[in-house]
Amino acid sequence: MTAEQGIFGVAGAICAVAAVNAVFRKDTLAAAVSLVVTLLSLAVIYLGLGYEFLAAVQVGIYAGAIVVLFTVAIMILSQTRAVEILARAPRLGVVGPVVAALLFLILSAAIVRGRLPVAVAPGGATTVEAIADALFVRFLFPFEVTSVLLLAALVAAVVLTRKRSTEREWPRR
Amino acid sequence: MPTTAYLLLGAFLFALGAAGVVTRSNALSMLVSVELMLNAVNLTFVASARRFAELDGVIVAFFVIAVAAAEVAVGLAIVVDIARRHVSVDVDKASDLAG
Amino acid sequence: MTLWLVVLLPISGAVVLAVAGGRLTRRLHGVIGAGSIALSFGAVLSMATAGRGEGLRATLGPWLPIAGGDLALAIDRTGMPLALMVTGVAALIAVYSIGYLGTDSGTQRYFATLDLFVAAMLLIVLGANLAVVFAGWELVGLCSYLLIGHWRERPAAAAAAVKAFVVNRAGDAAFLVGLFAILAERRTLALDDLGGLSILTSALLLCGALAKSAQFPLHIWLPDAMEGPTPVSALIHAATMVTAGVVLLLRLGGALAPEVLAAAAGLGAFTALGAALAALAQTDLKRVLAWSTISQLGLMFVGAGIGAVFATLFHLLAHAFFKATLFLGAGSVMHATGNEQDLRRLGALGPRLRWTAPAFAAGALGLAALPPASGFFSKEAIAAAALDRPLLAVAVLATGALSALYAARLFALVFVAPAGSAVIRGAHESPRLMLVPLVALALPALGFGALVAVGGISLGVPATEGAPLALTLGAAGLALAGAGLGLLRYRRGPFELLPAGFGRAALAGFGADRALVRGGSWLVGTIAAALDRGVEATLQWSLDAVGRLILRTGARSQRLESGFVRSYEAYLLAGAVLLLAWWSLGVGTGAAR
Repeated sequence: MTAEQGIFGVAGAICAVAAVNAVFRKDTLAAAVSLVVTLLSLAVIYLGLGYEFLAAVQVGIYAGAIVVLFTVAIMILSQTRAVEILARAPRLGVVGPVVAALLFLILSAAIVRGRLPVAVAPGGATTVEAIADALFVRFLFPFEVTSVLLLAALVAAVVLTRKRSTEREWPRR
Repeated sequence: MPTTAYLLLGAFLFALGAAGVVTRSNALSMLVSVELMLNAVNLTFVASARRFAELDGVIVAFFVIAVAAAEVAVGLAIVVDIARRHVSVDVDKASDLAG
Repeated sequence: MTLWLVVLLPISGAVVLAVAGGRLTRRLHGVIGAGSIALSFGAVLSMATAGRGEGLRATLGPWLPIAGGDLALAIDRTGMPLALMVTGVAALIAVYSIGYLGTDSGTQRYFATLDLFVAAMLLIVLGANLAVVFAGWELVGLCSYLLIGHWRERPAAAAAAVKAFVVNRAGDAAFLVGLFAILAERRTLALDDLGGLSILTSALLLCGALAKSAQFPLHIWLPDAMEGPTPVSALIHAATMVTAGVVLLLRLGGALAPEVLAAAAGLGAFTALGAALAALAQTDLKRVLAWSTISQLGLMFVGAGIGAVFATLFHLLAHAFFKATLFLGAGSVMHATGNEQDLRRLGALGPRLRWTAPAFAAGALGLAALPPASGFFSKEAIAAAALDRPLLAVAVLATGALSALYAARLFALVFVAPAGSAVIRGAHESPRLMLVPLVALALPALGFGALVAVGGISLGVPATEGAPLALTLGAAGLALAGAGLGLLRYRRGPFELLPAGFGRAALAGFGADRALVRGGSWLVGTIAAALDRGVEATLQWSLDAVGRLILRTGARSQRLESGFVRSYEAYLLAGAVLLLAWWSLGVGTGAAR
């Protein structure tokens, strides 16, 4: 049993349990914390595969920034009233999980039939240097596009959450 | 540990996220589920990248993280907006799209 | 290209008249209408004098994607004389029409259709394949409809036009089915490549010819077609329409099954005799001529049926000249008397119409087949060809005698007998524009036969052996007897030669018209009623079903559009799962392969 196998065994199990918790907890704050655990365990798995930089980004951006954003939103919205069940609301409590299970079955059937026994192929660069080379040379254009996307998301978030003089109306100018 | 195991974990996370998106009516829980699905895809990419000794999968994972950040920012902004309009974060109350 | 010019000149005349005619004067309509036909005649004549005749082909371009489906013209053995006759006679009739129509308001319509009519007939005569011939065939039907119904405000004219069109459609339908049968049989419509067609196909083609050439039992449209302007009648009877069936038989020639040709000859003989009897009883000037045309066409069918190409062509041309003369003469008479057509009210016009009377006499001589008028030689040729079939020969000779009788009766009643009414007193000779074409046609009506008989004009078809002397004498004697009897009997005015009951039956065409129309409308009415009921019920049901289906689908699909985000997500997920399942199954089968 190599280090990689051991890391996957432990972190994978934690990840799966925490993910179930994150999805099905009624308490959104608890769900957010479970999500953090899931993301962190994924970072550990990446580490086990040898991608240190990716693991760092996972911890910093995901587990850090994104989940913090979640938590702030939860705090803002904590005063909203309890969820009301509507008569017309779609009843997907059974259908949803069944379809999802079907999806999992199909995917795993394909994966198992694909037969990829070895996890780590020999060779292949994993260093930050190689990643930087790829990101800023071969994938430079997508990288720049992504920065524009992030800017747009930033502006959108500001516009959407800003308090308006009259509710239900877009600002006219 | 065979790559199959990584991929199976990814598939499990993805299906779990999908089930959450469909069944949970709380907007925040739905966003959490979406994050889960994105991470499942990331895991699949990274494992495959390692398996084939190609860096491209990792690069894609970076992009997915960036897109996820944007998605969460806009998604949470929408949730806050919905909460203001409907005084609730239950997406089932926001059925303005009804045909 | 000269060959195509022959057809395109009248067509361009028609187009010019149709497009720009509204801005032109009436006189100019006539000049363009007659001029384009005359130019076409000139084109044919130039080809004939240049010795370029049989075997000439001209392809304008591809048309239908089948063998023998090109837009092509060709001159076969009958093409040149027929084209000359069609354009020549039509040009004279067009000139006559200028005078006849006078101040009629529809000259633009009239001359445009006239030009198209001639072009269509030329397509039938010169078309290199049956596709082109059929195009001309249909155009002829259309133009006849338009021209018979020229005075469209008259209910009788409109009804006659519709009748002609509908009866012709019956034949056209048979012709069209026959074309498809030929395609199935021979894989080509080229006229050269036909030969040995099956009985069914030949019969279908014969049906088309019967309708166009007004042979029993599809002759019923022709007497009614007299409602059109008289020059139109002349055109239909002499040059452009009724001869189309005979032309088709001649051009198909030996390709038709022998049994069908025999049937054509038999039907022709029957029609010739019956129509001659009917002509004898008519009291209307133009209807006598109409029935005589049916009768003469019957003789042509006899000739075509027994394979006497020369005799048939000869009689067709001779008939064109004398029948055109007769109709133009009749038009002149009507012009003189204020459209009086009733034979019982006419009479004593001979001294008053100094040009029309002799011209009409020339035409009547041709019709009566009195030597030396043209009809004598051509009828004799048909009789000679039919000699070895006694029944047919007797029918031909009897028809000849009857023709002489009614021709003489007609002439006597119009020009010789005492005046039947006051309209005669105001009679005046027609304008020169009408008399010149009349005389120009009367001359060949008299002399054409003799010229061909002595070899002055070659028809391009080898002449058959001369008739035996006994036949010549017998035919001449019969014609003389008939004509003499007619002149003597009718010189003093209307007289019932036939027994009264028989005369009435003959006047009505022996009831064939009535029976056919009644039977036809009963049959069609019954089928239509049954179809109507069935179709209506089916339609009603299916429309309702469609409506119900849409309503139900709408009601169901409306439930999908709940507006709940999670429902939409569920659809997305389900779709993705389905796609994945399909792909993985497809991959499985692909791997198995």
